[in-house]
Amino acid sequence: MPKVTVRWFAVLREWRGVDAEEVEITSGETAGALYRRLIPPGPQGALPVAYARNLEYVSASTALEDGDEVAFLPPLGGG
Amino acid sequence: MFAITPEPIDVAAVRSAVVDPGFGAILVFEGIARDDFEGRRVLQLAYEGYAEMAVPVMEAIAAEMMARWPCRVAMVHRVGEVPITEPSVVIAVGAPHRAECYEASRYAINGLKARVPVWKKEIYEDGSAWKANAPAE
Repeated sequence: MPKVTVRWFAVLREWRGVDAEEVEITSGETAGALYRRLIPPGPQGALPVAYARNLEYVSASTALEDGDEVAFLPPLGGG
Repeated sequence: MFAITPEPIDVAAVRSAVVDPGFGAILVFEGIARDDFEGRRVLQLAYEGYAEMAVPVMEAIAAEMMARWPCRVAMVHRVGEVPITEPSVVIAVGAPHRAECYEASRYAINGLKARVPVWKKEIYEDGSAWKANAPAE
């Protein structure tokens, strides 16, 4: 099975309880689908996240590949 | 100079990175940790960043700026606890004239707030919250 490394930040890190984890993905699974699988809908699933794959912003419909680093970015607060 | 650092930001060093003999204007923007958010007293502020991604995003914003204005830019964002009154972010922009310097400086901070993956946690007397940025001014 292909695997990706998922990085968690801020409120998502707190919900998930880890900074990073290896996750198996299905062939062709998209960033959006993986997020919904890991953070199921509910109060938490309503969080509007942005998607990053290998350190670049991507859309929810981007297919993931074995070895990718994926991050789900909660609303930003820098500055 | 583009960085995410847990250390206090050396403002003079960020400014130095944009000095150029052809530049007649330099603006140094400091975003400061403040103790009040919509009336709630903030005891402590802590930032978290995705440093490996944040730095290339800063570089991309700088590249867009340099394509648009003759300028040079440096950005440093602090992470971890930032004491009230200290800068959480410092952006220096140098340009030949003040008009493009002001425009470029605003572009830089708006771009950073919208795109650089950094998060802010406010700790109050009675709890805490991750605070999202408002849309760009």
